[in-house]
Amino acid sequence: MRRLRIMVVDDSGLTVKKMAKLLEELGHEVVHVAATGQQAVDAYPGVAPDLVTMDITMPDMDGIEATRRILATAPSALVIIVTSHGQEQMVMDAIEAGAKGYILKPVKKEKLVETLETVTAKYLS
Amino acid sequence: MNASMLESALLRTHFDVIPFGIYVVDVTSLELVFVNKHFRERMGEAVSGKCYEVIYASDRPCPHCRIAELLTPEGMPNGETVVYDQYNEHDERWCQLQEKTMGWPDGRVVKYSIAVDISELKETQNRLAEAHAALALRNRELADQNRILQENIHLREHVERIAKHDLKAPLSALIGLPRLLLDNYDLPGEATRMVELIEQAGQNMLEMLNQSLILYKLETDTYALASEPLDLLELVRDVAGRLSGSSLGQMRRVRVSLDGREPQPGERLLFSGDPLLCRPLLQNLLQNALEATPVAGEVRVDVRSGRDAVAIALTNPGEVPEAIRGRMFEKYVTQGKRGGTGLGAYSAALAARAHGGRVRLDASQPGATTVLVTLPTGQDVAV
Repeated sequence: MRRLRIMVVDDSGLTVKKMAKLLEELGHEVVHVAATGQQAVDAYPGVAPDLVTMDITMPDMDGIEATRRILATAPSALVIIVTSHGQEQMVMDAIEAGAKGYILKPVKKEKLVETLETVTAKYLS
Repeated sequence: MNASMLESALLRTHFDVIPFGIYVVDVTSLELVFVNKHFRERMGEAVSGKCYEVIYASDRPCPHCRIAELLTPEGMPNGETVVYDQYNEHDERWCQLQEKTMGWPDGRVVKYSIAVDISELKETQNRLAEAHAALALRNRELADQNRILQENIHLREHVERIAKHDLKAPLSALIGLPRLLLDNYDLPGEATRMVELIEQAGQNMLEMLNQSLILYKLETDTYALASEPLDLLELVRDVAGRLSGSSLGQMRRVRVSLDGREPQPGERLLFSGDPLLCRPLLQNLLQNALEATPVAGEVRVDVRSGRDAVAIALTNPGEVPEAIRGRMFEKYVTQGKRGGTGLGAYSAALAARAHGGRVRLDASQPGATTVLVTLPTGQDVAV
C-alpha cells in the first residue's frame, strides 16, 4: 500500500497522539492536525491530503458538517469518520455527507488497515 | 471521632463494598473527594486532583460534564439522576455513568458517579455499527453505479433519437432517386440491378429507423395504437414466407399450423391488431427462432384461436441458456448472437403489451423452446 499523506481531525489531543502513532507505524505521514471541524475545512485546500480521519463530536463545527463542506469544494476528498458514536442515524448522516469509511473507537489497528486499504483501492488506484 | 467523621467513614465503607467504580467530585472545585476500592484498583492508588485530569487525562473540564443538571439554581443537590454512556479516550474503555449530587459529611456539595464498564457490550454494538456503515456505503456505491447506468441509457437514447432524425433526411434521396433513375433513364442491366439494390437498402434502413422510433414510443408509452381487423394466419404465413426467402430461412423450415392442425384453404383467424406492431413482432420472434435452429431444422408456428384472445406459439429446437431465461424479454439481452442487438424479443414484448397481450417463454419441454404470444381478440372483430 502506498504511503498516504493524512490529515487527522480530532479535538482530543490523546486521540490525535494515538492515531498519529498508529498511522506512522503503518508507514503513513500525518501532514496536518485540526482540532475542530472549521479548522479542518479551512486547512484542507492548502494541505490537500490524500485522506482525512474525522472525529464527529468537536467544538464549533462537528465532523459531519465539516465532511460535507470539504466535499462541497473538493468532491474527490477521502474522509473516514473515526468516532465513538455507533448510533444508526449518526452512521447514515456521515455516509450521506460523503464519508468513505466509518471506524469506531477504540481504533483497532487491523480495522484501520482494512479501511485504508479498501478506500485506497477504490479511490486512489 | 465526631459525627461528621463517622458519617464519612460509613459512606466510604458503603461505597467500597459496591463492585463498580465510584468516584465523588466536589461540584465547585471539580476535585476528587473520594474514590472507592474498585476504582482505586482500576486507576491506581494515586487518585487525587481534578476529576477530568485523573479520569480523562484532559487539561480542561469535560464537554460532556452533567453536573449543572444535578444542581438547583442555588447550587444545591436537586435530587435528579442522570445516566449516560461515555467513552474514555484515556483508557479506551466505555462506561455507563449513573450520577447524582448529595451533601458530603464535611458540608461540601458533591457529585457521585457509579461507573459500570460496558466496553464488551459496546464492542459488539460497534462491530454491528461498522457492519451497518459498510452496508450503507455499499448501497451508496450501488446507487451511484445505477445512476451512471441510467445516465448512459438516457444518453444513448438521446443519441439514438438524434441519429434517427438526422438520418431520415438523407434517406429520402437514397430512396427517391433510384426510382427516378429506373423510371426515366435507360440503364444497362448491371446498373439497373445496382440501383435496385440501393433502393432496397434505403427502404430497409427507413424501416429500421421507423421501427426504432416506434420502439421508443412504446417504451415511453406515447405510441397511439391503430388497430384494425387482421387475419393472424395470413400475417404469420406472410412473415414466414418473407423470412424463408432470406439466407437464414432457406436452410431451415417453417411449418405453420392452426390449432395444431394443417389449416384448410380459406380459413382465417381474425383479431384486432395494429399492423405496424404485429408484423415486426412476428418477424422478430420468428427470426430469433430461426437463428436458434440448426441448419435443416424446423420451426413450428402454431396459431391458436380463442374466445377472448388469439395466440401464436413459436417452437424451435434447442434451449435458451438458463442464465437468461428470466430476462429474455428485457432490453439488450441476447443469447450471445453475433451482431444481436438484444432488441428483437424486447420490442416484441412491448408490442404485445401495447395490445393488452403478453409474450412469455416456455422452457418446460426438454430440447425445445417455445415462445407464446397472446393477443386479445378485440371487440370490433367479427370472427
